[in-house]
Amino acid sequence: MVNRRTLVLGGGAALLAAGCGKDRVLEPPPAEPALLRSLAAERALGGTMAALAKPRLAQRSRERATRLAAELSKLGARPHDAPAPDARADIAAGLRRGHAVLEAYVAALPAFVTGARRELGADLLTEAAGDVALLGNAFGSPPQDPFPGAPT
Amino acid sequence: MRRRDLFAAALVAGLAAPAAARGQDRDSAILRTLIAREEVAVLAYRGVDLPGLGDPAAQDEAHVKALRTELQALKLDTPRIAADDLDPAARRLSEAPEDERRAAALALETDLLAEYREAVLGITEPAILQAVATILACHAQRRALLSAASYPP
Repeated sequence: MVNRRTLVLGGGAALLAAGCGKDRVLEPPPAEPALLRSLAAERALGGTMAALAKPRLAQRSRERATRLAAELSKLGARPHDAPAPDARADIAAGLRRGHAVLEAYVAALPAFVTGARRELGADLLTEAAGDVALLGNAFGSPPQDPFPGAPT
Repeated sequence: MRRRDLFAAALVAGLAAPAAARGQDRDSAILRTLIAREEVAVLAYRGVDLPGLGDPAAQDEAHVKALRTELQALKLDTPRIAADDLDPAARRLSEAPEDERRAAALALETDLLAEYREAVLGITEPAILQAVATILACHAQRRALLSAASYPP
């Protein structure tokens, strides 16, 4: 039979052992702000793609936005809080918005801790990266960056 | 604080530490796999000219460097892959005649993308996750360009 003193001593030893390891923050960031930022960036990109007369790319961007909005709704958040800025037919703006959306998806991934949400993040990043490449390519600016979406 | 609370806290901390160690083990295993894939891709793309794709060998060399930096941050390393140790997709590209290079590169990028997707699902450390995600995005861009009906641009 283990008495209380042994239990407390054991607990203390475990606390000490745990404290000797590498310091690490285990708490992930919340998913909602990451999803909202991604949604705002995707809406901005989709608007520019439409303004640049790239309807198939714009349609796929809208589909990604719909998936993000659905995920936000599951969390009880309000997708309408993500703004949809005005868009002009400006390829430089389109490429900037393309980079912004990839950056948002990359930044969001650590907040996506459940398997399904991490899968969603990986798929959205993959699809958006492809479409941003096609957008640039269509206007003579194929991507050259080995790390698209890296924070600027 | 009561003895019981102390014991519970110790138990939680004791359980969390091995979980973090397991996460680090998994991250390092994933990094080693990705480094090997990228090193092989460098060899496969060397001397291959695919219009609109820039310099994939140089990009993949940058990927290797970034992934090795992440592994070294965990105080680990891995030997460089041997030149004759190509995986099947890389070997196909390296041996493809000119008219089959695009298809072979597309197959390699599709294969790499699947590997990176699995990696992104498994990595726990945020900095490693984000570094790997940007490389996933690079391979997704190449795959899209190689798949495009408009290729070559």
